[in-house]
Amino acid sequence: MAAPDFEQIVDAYYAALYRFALSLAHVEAAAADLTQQTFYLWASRGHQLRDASKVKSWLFTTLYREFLNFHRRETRFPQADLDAETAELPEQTGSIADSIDGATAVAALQQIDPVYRAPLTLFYLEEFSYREIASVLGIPAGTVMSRLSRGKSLLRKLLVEERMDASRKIVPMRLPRTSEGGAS
Amino acid sequence: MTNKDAIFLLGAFRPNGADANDPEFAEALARAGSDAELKAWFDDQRGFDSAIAARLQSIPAPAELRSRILTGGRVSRPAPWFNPRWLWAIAAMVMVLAVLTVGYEKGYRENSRGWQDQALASLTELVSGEANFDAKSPNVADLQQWLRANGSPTVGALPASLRRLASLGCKTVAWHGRPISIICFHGPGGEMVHLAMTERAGLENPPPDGHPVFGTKDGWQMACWSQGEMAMMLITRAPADQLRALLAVAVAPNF
Repeated sequence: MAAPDFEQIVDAYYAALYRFALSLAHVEAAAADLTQQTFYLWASRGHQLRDASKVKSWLFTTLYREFLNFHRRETRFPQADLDAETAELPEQTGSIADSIDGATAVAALQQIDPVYRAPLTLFYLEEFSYREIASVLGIPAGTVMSRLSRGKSLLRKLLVEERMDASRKIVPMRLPRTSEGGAS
Repeated sequence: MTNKDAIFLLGAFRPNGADANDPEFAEALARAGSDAELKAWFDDQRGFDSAIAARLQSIPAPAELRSRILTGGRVSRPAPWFNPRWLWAIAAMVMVLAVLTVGYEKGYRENSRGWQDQALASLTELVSGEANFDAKSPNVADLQQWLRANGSPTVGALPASLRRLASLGCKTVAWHGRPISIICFHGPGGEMVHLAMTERAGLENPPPDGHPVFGTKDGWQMACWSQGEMAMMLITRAPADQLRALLAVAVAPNF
């Protein structure tokens, strides 16, 4: 089978890469820059990759490294308590997600610590298994599971709070007073 | 396996079912099929995950992003001689050319400052917008890390006066197979300042240690010196006294 050309690779992955970049970088312009930079690196060095089946992993890994290269020093990731996992069946909150839009989902993801945000975004893009996510991020597979568990708990909490905030903003409309005695 | 174990595992089960055949999930899925409480949790979890995944995947990429990538990619792609079909033919041609040009090459290296000329030419393209940075950051430490990660030459510690300047970006170019790194800074007087570096080893006439040599070419003010294993060149359009002032701080502490 012939290796895919540059345009085919761009068409296959640029949208998913952009979404991953957006969750990492917060700002659309920065996400677009990260995505472009990743493909430029592919254009100049991709020929060194022998296994065509690893193109997708190469692109996501490169984008993630590019992001870390420029932001790791500025934002030290706080150490997370990875042992603080859910000890019992978590609260069921599936219906919360039905009432939000894409922008709200990304906004909530962006509030989560990058330690959890990166694996969580890759998980929701559904492009990679947890083992592949581990490879892309350079962490053990068990750590991916821990971070997904913790990250989902944080995401649920944020969305619940978001919904509560939204409901508080609903102010009852004041009805005009009616005079009981009518005009005198 | 307890329900807690199953929850931990199934949290990594993709909502689109792509992991259904992964044996790692088999026992947890079986348990979710037989335990009512776990099944309720799993159904809720998949509903939540499906909704978030659908929202995330519905975000459109900017309309112009694809065309920008394709245009930039054409510029960044290596020349077609990377195609293996041409490699043998090119190798033979290179052998012939190498024999023919070795004498000329030796003379050229001895009698010219070719790497500086290459750096100036590349710099001119960068400044005019004809070429793009390989990496951009206002933090020069990030650019140095990028250069190291990509096998490009850079000194261990930049002169203090340059570390204080905000950087714009960096680029690696080649002169006769020798990589040259260029880092561009916002200069203290408003004009940009550019630092070019290449490995000193193999240069026929490396710049001197500790004593910058000053010169001008095509309106550029230049200063060359060696620092450890690196040959360095500082370049600017600013007046010569500003370059000397920068170097008075930059070079003196290192020598």
